[in-house]
Amino acid sequence: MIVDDALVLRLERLAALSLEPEERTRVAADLTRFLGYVAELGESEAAAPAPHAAEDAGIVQTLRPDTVAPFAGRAEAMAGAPELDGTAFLVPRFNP
Amino acid sequence: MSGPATANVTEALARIAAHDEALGAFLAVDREGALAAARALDVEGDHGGPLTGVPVAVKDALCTRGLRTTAGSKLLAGYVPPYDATAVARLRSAGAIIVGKTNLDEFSMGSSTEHSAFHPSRNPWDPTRAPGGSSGGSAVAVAARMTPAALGSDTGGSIRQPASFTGIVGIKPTYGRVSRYGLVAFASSLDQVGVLAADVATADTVLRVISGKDPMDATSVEMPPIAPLAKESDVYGLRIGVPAEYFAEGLDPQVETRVREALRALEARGAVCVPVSLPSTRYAVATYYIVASAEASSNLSRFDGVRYGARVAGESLHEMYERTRSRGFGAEVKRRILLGTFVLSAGYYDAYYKKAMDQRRRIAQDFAQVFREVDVVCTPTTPTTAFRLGEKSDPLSMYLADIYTLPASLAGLPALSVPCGFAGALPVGLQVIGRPWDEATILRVAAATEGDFPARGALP
Repeated sequence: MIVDDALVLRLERLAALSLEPEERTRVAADLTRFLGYVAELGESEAAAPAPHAAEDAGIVQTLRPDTVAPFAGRAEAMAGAPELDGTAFLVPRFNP
Repeated sequence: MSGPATANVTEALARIAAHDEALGAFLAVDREGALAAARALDVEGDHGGPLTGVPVAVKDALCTRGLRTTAGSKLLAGYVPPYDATAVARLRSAGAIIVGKTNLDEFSMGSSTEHSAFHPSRNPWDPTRAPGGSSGGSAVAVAARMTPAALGSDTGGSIRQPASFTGIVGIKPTYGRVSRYGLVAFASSLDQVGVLAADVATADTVLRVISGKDPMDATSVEMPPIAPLAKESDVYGLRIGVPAEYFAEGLDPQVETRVREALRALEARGAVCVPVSLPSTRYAVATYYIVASAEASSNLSRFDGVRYGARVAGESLHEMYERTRSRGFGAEVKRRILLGTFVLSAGYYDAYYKKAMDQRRRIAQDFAQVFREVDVVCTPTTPTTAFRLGEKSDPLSMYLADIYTLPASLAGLPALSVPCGFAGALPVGLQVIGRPWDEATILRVAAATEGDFPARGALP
């Protein structure tokens, strides 16, 4: 499969990235090469595999109690924000 | 007051001061914090913890409260976490002293530390060569004996490969053995926190400290603790699987010679080597880079410049996201996000992601089959010794070098690398892969190999 600049541009939009033109061309070449390599997966036998080993071992995942608790570190957690108005994170308008 | 903890930390800081400028193991050294913690321990007296007063370095992908945590990225260059990762908190509770944060490939994506946004780390055995990655800084810190142990994380070999390249012990436990809470996520179904250490006994002690169910990570599992390592490592009667697929084209003949010598030494101790086959190994690189990139594309969507980290201003919210991410992420991270976005996108999901997930299960089944016949699987950790910095400029050639460590990660199995001699002046590692939750047996094999090939530091 050949990845061209138009496909990379579509992926950039999906991933909230914006590449420089030369960066885009390089990524297109890298993705083309990688997808050529992974085409070998298509050669593997088609039979559906059995469930994953961890499922076989019957491991039961447990969750912590879903209870509301006060969070003491609010100020510390917000201290690293790029822009604050004291209590909320500030961002640019959705549509300027 | 000066006591044993202060003496240990002072010595670690002196080694860091003497060697780190040349080697670049650390992104931050917490000199004051470490000395203060050591003094407090010395005043308190014997704390009774298994790591009392032991200096430990921590990969900068693990959150440390009040100490900058960058994940090797410009995007998090100023990020100071408000909490400790569970593995870090457990280290502190056991009396360990965190001396600093070590270098890594950005967001743990790489095998050389050359993708760190700050600087590459250098291999102490030959500073023109890479120490491996992504936990390369942790490996250098231990290999240069700046600290006796360090935490790392392993997604596809990021503990074992640098351990092999730098002549130390590195263990990635079973997926679920150690909490991932506070580990900056790369690929959540693969990421696992583990240990790099100067010797097997230290790796064993640190691993037991950080292991165990954590309510903050639903994928951590309640399991009986790892059995303590016996003083005399007995491998008599142990069945070792030796997979043909790991001794194939691309394996450096000198690496093969050292690994086969290590296997013969285990046989001399009464172990039995059995030829086995893991036929899906050939698909591991393709499978891993699809699955891990897909998960990374989702995990890294959280870095948007809103709540923490760097921000690049934009006219609209979306423009701010795009600019922040485009300037904050390095080339390799962007490449993997775009690859992951591609394999999950409409029209390509079935052909790539779904096929890779099926293949992942086949890889796990290959191991399950083999573990009916043998107790452990032994292989080279890497096909070559440490490569030169700049040598793997093509991304695919870097990915292909991970071929021997990826399968155990994809299958969620415990695996370690232990030194087994040298090829020229460079260390070679033996990889030992175990059954799920059987870290005790792979550590036992590693202790026996260590007895046959004693580890040594890279620098005087």
